Amino acid sequence: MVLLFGVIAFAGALSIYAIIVRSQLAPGSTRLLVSILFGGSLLEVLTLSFISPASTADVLLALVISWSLALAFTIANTAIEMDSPTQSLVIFLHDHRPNGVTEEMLDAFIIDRPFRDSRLRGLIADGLVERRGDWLVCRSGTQVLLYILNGYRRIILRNETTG
Amino acid sequence: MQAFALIVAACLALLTNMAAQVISHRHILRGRLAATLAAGFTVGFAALLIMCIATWLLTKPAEEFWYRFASAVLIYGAGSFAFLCLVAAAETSVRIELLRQLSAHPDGLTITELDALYNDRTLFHMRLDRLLEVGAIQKVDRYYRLTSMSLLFVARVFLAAKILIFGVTDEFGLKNQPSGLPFRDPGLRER
Repeated sequence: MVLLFGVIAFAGALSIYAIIVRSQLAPGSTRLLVSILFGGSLLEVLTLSFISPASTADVLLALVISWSLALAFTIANTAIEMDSPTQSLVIFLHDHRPNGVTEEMLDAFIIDRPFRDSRLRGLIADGLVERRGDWLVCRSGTQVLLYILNGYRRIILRNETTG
Repeated sequence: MQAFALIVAACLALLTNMAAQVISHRHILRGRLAATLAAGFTVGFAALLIMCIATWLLTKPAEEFWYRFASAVLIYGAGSFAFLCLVAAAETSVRIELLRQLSAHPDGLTITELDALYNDRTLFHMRLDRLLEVGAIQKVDRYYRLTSMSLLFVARVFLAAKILIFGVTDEFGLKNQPSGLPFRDPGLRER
């Protein structure tokens, strides 16, 4: 029952987000996704626990299940709602089997998929980057995120990125 | 009591996973990121099993134990997947690389300056080189060909999720763009 509560709460919240984005009620963004997945899951778990009473510990377990699924989906969402450049390339190459693709075809592929500007708009929409006239500037919250990721890379002694 | 213990067990197993990954990358499998992630997951999962068995032995047996155990495994799996994605983001994410480039210039960058440092061609060729290096694709004569079926499987899983949840096959077909701008933002380009 606990397992079911947690999964249903996550699936319900995700469905609400998908409906909002698909019906164009609001543009998709990480901020909206986080609000709906975490807030919606909490409300759904509490509602389900009223419908079918469970112990406090089991309600907490259901909440942890839904929030852990919400966290995993939120982090993976940039490769679901948006396109991953690597995965797009893999599918592009597979679509052109068995001959493969030439440099010219890859050039056309790059022109058709301006990933960088797409991500830049996402960062602006999520409030991590702001425009000041002609300038693009990182906001203060960004430093915390970079501090965590770069700190982790320093700990594992990894110096080069391939982003 | 049992449910609390299993929540704690899943969280501790996740921490074990991260610690094992860090230690193995620093000291045992240096530079082999994928192998250290697999090692971390395995060690963490073993720790989870040990803690779940201990919980089962120390607490009053209950019918719900197996559902709670499955819940702990699900929490551990989701947490591990989130950790994997976070590590991948620190390594290859376009968003994170953009933030790195911009944060290196406290006064900011214009689009022209950003173009010189990091553009679509740069990010694409980094990926192409990486895939060639690991043998996921091959260049024969003047043709690039996909050789990694596991990468194709992952790409198809994400594509299926995209179609199922958002009803599109690629982001360029999305009707809703963040900030409501058209996909090609002339304001960004002309600067």
